[in-house]
Amino acid sequence: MKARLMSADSDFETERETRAGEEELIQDLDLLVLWRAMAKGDAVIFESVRSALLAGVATTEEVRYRQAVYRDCREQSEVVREIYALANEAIAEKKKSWRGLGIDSNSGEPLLHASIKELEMFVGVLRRLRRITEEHAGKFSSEGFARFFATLRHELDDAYFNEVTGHLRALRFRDGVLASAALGDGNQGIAYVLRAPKPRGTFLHRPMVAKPSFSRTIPHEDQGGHYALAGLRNRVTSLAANALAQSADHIGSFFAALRRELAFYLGCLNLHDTLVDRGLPVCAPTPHPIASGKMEAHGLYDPCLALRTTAAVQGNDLCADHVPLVIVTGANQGGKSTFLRSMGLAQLMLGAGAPVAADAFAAALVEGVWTHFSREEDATMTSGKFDEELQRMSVIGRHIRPHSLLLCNESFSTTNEREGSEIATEIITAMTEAGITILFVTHLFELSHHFFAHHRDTTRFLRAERGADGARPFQLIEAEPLSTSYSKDLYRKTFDANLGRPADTSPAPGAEHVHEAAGSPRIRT
Amino acid sequence: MVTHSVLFPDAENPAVVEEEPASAVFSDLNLDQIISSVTARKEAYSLRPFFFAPLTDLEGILYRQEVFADLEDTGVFETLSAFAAEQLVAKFTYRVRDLRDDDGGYNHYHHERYFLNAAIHYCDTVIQLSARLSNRDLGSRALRRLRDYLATYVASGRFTKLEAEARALKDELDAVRYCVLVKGDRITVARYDGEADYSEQVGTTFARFQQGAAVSYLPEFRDYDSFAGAGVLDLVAKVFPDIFASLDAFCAKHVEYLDETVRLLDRELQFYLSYLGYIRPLREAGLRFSAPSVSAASKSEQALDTFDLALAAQLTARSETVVCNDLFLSDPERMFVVSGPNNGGKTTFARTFGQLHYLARLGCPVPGRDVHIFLCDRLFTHFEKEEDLTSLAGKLQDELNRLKADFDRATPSSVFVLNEVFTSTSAEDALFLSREILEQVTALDALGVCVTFLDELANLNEKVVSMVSTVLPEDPAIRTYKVLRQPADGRAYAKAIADKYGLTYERLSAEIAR
Repeated sequence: MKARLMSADSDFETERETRAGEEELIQDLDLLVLWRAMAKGDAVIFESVRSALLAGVATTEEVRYRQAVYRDCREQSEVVREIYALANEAIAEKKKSWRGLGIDSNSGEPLLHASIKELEMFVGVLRRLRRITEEHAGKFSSEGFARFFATLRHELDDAYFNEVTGHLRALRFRDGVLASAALGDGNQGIAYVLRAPKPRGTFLHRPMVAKPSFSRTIPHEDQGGHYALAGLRNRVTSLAANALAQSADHIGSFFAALRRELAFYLGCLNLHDTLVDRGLPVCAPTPHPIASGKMEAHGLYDPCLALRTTAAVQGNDLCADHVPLVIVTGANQGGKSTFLRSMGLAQLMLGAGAPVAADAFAAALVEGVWTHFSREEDATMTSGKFDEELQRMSVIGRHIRPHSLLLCNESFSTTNEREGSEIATEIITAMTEAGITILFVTHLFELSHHFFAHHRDTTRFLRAERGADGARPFQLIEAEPLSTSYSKDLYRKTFDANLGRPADTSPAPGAEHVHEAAGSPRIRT
Repeated sequence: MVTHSVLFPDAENPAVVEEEPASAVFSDLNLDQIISSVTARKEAYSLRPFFFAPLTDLEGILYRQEVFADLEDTGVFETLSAFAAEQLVAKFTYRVRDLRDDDGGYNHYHHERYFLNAAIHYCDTVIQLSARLSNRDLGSRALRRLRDYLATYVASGRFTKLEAEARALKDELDAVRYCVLVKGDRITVARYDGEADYSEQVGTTFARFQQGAAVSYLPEFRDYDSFAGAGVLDLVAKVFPDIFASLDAFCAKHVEYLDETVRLLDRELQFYLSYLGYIRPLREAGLRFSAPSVSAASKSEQALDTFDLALAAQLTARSETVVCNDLFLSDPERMFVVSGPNNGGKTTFARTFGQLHYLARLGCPVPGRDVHIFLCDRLFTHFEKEEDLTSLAGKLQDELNRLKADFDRATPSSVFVLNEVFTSTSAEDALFLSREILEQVTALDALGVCVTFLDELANLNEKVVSMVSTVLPEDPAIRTYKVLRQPADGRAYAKAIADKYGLTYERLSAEIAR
């Protein structure tokens, strides 16, 4: 019996092995902020959205399966929250039991009794779940929920509840506990198996074992005998206790799985509501098959930025179908990093089957999302940082698969421009040829110029554009790279210093570059 | 039946000294270290007496060398190692004691079962040894005789009956299935009558909730946990009376199942295996061992790429390199005089020489290749000692007393290992005394090695060969631990050290003249 609300044919696990580069991805895309906003303090939701976003699904069918379940969740959020509360209750009650308290004893009889109590509690919760099914199942239309309710109806009928109750009564062993055994290599009992007595004898006398049988009663004063008897009884009841404790665990894990799966949708609901309350658009993205080359966004924004500020949030458009490389250049604080993050987040949300922070978003699914962000905006020329950058990129190179998305933010700006450009060019060429899509934010003019000169048809160029009045509109326009970024006017704005040369006299596009490294404006006194 | 030894060719009751000799030879040559390491963790076999009893006849040495040669065959080695690892004697002894000490209590049938197991294990092991040896090409008299003996033994009635009875009984016991019912303080046992598995029924009912692999709450049951005190086994014996009566009968009948030759083999094999186990890591490190050709007539000796076994074992354990040396004496040479820089491997060379003579007499493979060794009758060692305060005589007197006593016992077949003997005297006295002693040794025509700082001794007479510890030509401060056959030149090393510190004549002169 499975919840199967996340996938028609596989379990949804939140425990997964950390992928290489995952910590960087979380840090670079500000994922913790997103997950916290989705979780709203619920640790289960946090784990579910974290896992769902980090381990996206592979096919458009799977995405649509979740999107349909999510539509049901938006329309029937009261019922969904009630089922979630029920699962929470079952798990909380189990934690309160003797076993849940972490008293770690596998002694047969205590474990047996604790397990019986747990199962009796679960039976109560299951009966309530069954009632909810009767009342509300008709209001749900998604394949996921339809299957879920059908399973409950089928598996939890009255006959089944009777069978369970019968076991719980028999397992109190009022007539003694019976096991079979063979002789081990020291003639000790081995291969103990708990046995159900055969129906034999008459109604008045039902012998538990075959004839002939031999008995002994441990004398009251025989301490060693009682000690051994306790060991034997423990061994035998352990078999029943084990079967029962495992059953209780199974039901517990059914509720845990149900809760885990619903938690993902509740997380989406939470984020959805928050963004809509801010007056921001939220869309159901359109998934395209992996390697299909689709990448189109309208009004795409960074939900994390929206969650952190109350300022107006500027959306961006991008149409880069069948383009393996997008190079983003232009002014500092012109929204380049934000754009990069919003693309990464949208891709992860799409892959998870979650709604996306945009007017519209359509993209091919990817094998994985990778980030290579310069660790600090203000790059210093220390070789240690360059080593660190190369180290991170080599990790990516060892692990990234074709049809992944790589987001580079000011990569290789810790060395000189020529070296950085050459290294980046090699990396980009190798990866795009291998079918990896790259979004590359850079100040390296040699790099962007190279691709503009030689690969204009397979590269999209975006530029962070400042407004005519000098105020930052945080908008990216499709435009070829300029050889100068706007560091100095940013500096002037910040320090109100005269740089001796107005910003608007910067060289024309394509002219021999008079380039200044990002964040290191020349100060003339 | 005659018991058969793989260590001694003729002796029915091998004359092994059970007392360890209290001789300085063992500590001086570090033979005590070697023997302790070889026999470590083998105390149960009481192997030390074998290693403290060097052989005196070529025949006995050859008898063991043949076995060592057979053991170079991986198949033979593995066959005998496998046999030794089964520890038949230890298991027999333990199980027989259990039976003897049995008080008829709840452990009775447990003990008897273990005895039965030991008997089956004994049969299996002996059969396997016999079968595997019969497939091997054996060169040694010892192992060929053993093979013949085992073939006869395994086919004998006393062995085949033991085996057949034991196996039949085991099969019957393994087939027993019973039910045990526990209610309160009462235990009831009956035969198993096809009762259904109840855990499975419970599991089936709840199986629909299964989400993944189940955590097991079964405590880690120890399979040897018999709960004997509850007396279940006695109840089982009542349910199956015939089988357990057979078990009693078997134990009474076969309480002496162990064969005397097998018992002896179990111990004697350890002599070979423990020594081979000790030298294995050294061989793996590339060091050579070989069976020396031992002569009772020729005093021309040779050992190429040889080394101090005790030191090599330590170095190899630390993954450090072992330096090997070549040594040879051809008529009329009898005596190595080793000089040269300190810590250059002189004492190690002397120990190596002594060890070679001792190990050869044990019949063991010795360090080195192409080894020819004289069968000496006795080793005498004189190593510089801490002053013995209980002795009334001074150190020098003490040393001379010991030398005198040794010369009284020494023969032309003896070997002397002398290491910095007269360091407590002036150089002039030391030279005089050393000359006298060496003259005596060479006059006796005994073999020997003498470590000394006195260059002059190296040219004493035609029986003396000069060996020198050496340094690296490029950096004289680095010692090579190579001891080479070359004329003694006490100045060579001093000049090297001086050069390193800029104190040679030329450099000092140049410095001063500046």
